[in-house]
This record gives sequence, structure tokens and C-alpha cells, in this order.
Amino acid sequence: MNCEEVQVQLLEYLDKSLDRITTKHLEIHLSSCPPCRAEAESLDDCVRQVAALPIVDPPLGFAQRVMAHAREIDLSPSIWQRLALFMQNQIALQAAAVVLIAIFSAFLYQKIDSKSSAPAPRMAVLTDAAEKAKTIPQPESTSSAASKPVKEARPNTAQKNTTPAAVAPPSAPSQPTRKTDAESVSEGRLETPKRAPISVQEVATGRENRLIGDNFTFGALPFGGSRQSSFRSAPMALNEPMFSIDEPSADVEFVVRRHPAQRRDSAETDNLESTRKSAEAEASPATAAMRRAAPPPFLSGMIVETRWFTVAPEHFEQFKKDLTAQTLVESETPTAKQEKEFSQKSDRPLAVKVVILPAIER
Amino acid sequence: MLVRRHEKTIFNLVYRMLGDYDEAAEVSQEVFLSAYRAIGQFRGDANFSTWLYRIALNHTSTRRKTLIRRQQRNVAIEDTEPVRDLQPGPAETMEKKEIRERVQRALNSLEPDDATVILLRDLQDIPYEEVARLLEIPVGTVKSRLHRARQALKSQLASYFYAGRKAV
Repeated sequence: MNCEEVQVQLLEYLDKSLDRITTKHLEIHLSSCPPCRAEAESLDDCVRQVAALPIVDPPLGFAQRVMAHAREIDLSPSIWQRLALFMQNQIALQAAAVVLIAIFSAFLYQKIDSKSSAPAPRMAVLTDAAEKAKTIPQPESTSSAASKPVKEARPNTAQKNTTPAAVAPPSAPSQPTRKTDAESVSEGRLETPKRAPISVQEVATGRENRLIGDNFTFGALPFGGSRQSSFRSAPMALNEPMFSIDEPSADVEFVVRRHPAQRRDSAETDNLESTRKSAEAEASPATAAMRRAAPPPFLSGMIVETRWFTVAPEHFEQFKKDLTAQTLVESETPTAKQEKEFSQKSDRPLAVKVVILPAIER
Repeated sequence: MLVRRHEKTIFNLVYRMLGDYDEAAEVSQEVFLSAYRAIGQFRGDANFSTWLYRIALNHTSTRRKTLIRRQQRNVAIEDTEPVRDLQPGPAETMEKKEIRERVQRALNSLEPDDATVILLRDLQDIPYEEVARLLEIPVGTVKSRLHRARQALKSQLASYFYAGRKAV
């Protein structure tokens, strides 16, 4: 056995775990090799010195202290329990934070929304009113209850007397389809810069929606009570020519009311027919042409019908007499006289518009 | 009961690893309390003492690192502080006491793994296989590490033994 082999076996030799033969060979080498022997002795000293270290007793009452601490551990929550408790508290805190943030953001959103959309409702109302006003000239666009009487009156009175050419041009070009309020509002928002809000339009719309046919009383009935108690712009409508944009302009306009005894059907038709015939007979060089036109927009629900005549200036007085005899003239264009004179000078017939109101029921 | 049975071995291992009695007492207490808390995790496939040794070594290693950092900050204090030997015994000679202090210092100057192997094998007399399980390394590695640790310890104690032999 050489020195290298001894160095390899030295650990087990010191542990006394080598077999007897190997131990003997190793001891022979150690006895003959001083360096290996010194190495073995020093290592053996180390092992013995470590093993000779005395057993130190722990401090007095060490076990009792440990057990006391262990009991405290039993009573106090473990680290996992503490962690779970902490997490529960954290979850509660997080939930509370989320709720607070939600409430705060909702509050902020409402505040911002109310600021940004503050002018919008006003514009929406105005544009909605404008939208409705836009639909007023259309008889179809008014409420069905209000427009039905006009529609029914047409075949009885006007259709047989009018020529297709004489029919007042319908307001087809401005036929808007009626839109829902939401659509109006949304469109109104988009088109707000283009439209100027007009306050009277709302009154006109109201008037249009609260006509006789609706059985809606706004104080007194517009033509059932005094005229003063009717809608605001009614006098204006009676005193001024009530032309829509599409209507031909009248030189003279009469607003007449049927006599109470008169019936809308035959009597009224006959009377007006005679007036028309007389006008036709007297009209020269052009014959009087009665034209049926669409009622003025804001009177469409209460006017029975509107008739148009072309009257020679020299026959205008006679026409007026006949009209006064057969109906109750409520108003006449103030400038009728001047119009007649102008017509005489210019040698052209007068365009007369007769707005016929229903009789006052007693 | 378990504390009383294992307190000496655990305390001595920790004490020899740290070289400080008070620190050893504190760490030993932590070891037992940790074992008490984690008793549910003991699977029973190893000896209870092995499991307890492992806990002790973990705690000791952590505390030793802390002490080393603290000693590096207070080098002067550490150098002047003698290793305490609480059981000098009236009949014990000054030479034996000096040897124990030397050995303890030499152990403390070793690498922790080397000191652990020496203490487990030479002080606690734990078989190689058990040491291997405890340190979770192969038996061969335990042997080689032990040989290397003994060589290192011999180097640390060489001057003393040389002087001692010369004196003898």
C-alpha cells in the first residue's frame, strides 16, 4: 500500500470501518512512513478533540419555556390564520375602495354629463318644436282626428267644382315624414347650428294640435266661444292673408262663417255654388275659377275649407254682397279697396280667397 | 416530552455551530417552536430526530449568517470575545479548556457545511447514511466532505498541536 492509497483509506481507518486485512496493511505502511503517520495522527487528534467536546446543558427551564411559548402559539392565531385574516381585511378594504370609486366616478360622470349636456335639452325642445312646426303645413302630418274632416269635406264641395289645374298646389315639396321625438332630438342635436330657435313655433304647434276636431278645449273653444279667448295668433290669422309658402297669393281674403242654419252638406254647397256661378258669370275676361286649396297651416283643423275665386274688379262689389248675404263675414283684407283699384288699373282679375269657418253651434 | 428528549442534542449542535451560548439557547427554542408549529408536516418517513436536526440546521445557518454580518461590523469586539465554556469543571486543567476553546474557534472558522458534517459525524456520532439523509446528499459526498472538513480543521489546529507536541 502506498501513500496515496493510505490517504484514500485514512478516513475509514479513523472511523474504524475498514476490514481487518486492509487495516493491517494500512498500519504497516503507517509504521514505515512518518509523513503518513503524522497525517493520520493529526486527523485522529481532530476527531478526538471534536468528540471530546463536552455536552453542554441547555439553560435551566429551557423545556418549560419552550412549552410555554408553544401554548401561546396554540392560543394565538398561526401565521396562516393571520395572513388569512389580513387578506380578509384587505378584501374588505378593497371592496370598500371599489364601491367608493364607483360612487365617486358615477358622481363625476353625472356632473360632467350635466355640464356637457346642459344646453342640449333646450335645443332638443326647440328643434323638436321646429320639427313639429315643419310638419304643420302638411294636413297628413297633423293628427288624424283633425285632418279627417277636411279630407271628408273635399269630395262633397270642392272636387266637383274644381279643375285639376285649379287645385291649389299641395305642399308636397315640403312633405317631411313625421319623426319620432327621439329622432327629432337626435337630429336636432346634429343640426342645432343650422336652426334658429323660434319661440312662436311652439304656439303654432299647440294650436295645430288643439283644434276643434280634437275636442280639446283651451279655455273656450276657438270658435265656440269668443274670439278673444282663442289662441294668441288667431286674430293675426284673420287679419292677415293666411298664405302658406306654396299657396298662390290672394289679392283679397275673406274669412267668413257659415250661418247657423246652414248645413255643411247640400245648403252650404248650393250657396257657395251659386256664388261661384255668379262670379263665373260676371267674371270677365277670365271666368271666375274656384279653386280648392289646402287650408292654411295653423287653421287646418278648424277651417272647413278654403276657396279661391278670380273676380273681375268691376264685379268685386257684387261678389262681396253675395258673400255677405250668404255667410257671416268675419274679416276682410283691409287693403281690399286698394287692391281692387290696382287691379282695375292693371286690367287683371282679383284673386279672392275665401276661408270658410264652421257655424257656431248653439 | 419531545423537547426534553431532544433538547440536549439540539442545543449542543446549535451551540457548537454558533459558539455562543445565549444565541444557541434562543435558536434552540426557535427550533422547537418551529417543529411544534410544523408537526403536522412531519410525514414519519424519517426519524423524528433527523427531521428536528434539519430544522435546527436551517435555523442555525440563518442565525450564523446574521452573526457573521454582525461580527463583520464589530470585528474588534468579536476578536476579544472569548468562546464561553460553561462547564469547565473543577478538575479540568487549563490546557484542556484551551484546547476546547481552540477547537470551537476552529469549528467556527470552517465553512458551515464542513462544520456541520464534522459536528454531525464526530460530535453527534450520527451514521453516514443518516447524515446523508439529513443533508440530502449522497453518502460518498458526506465522506468526501467530512475528509475535507477534517483536513481544514487540522490546518486550523496544526499550530496548537505542533506547539503542544513540542511542549510534550
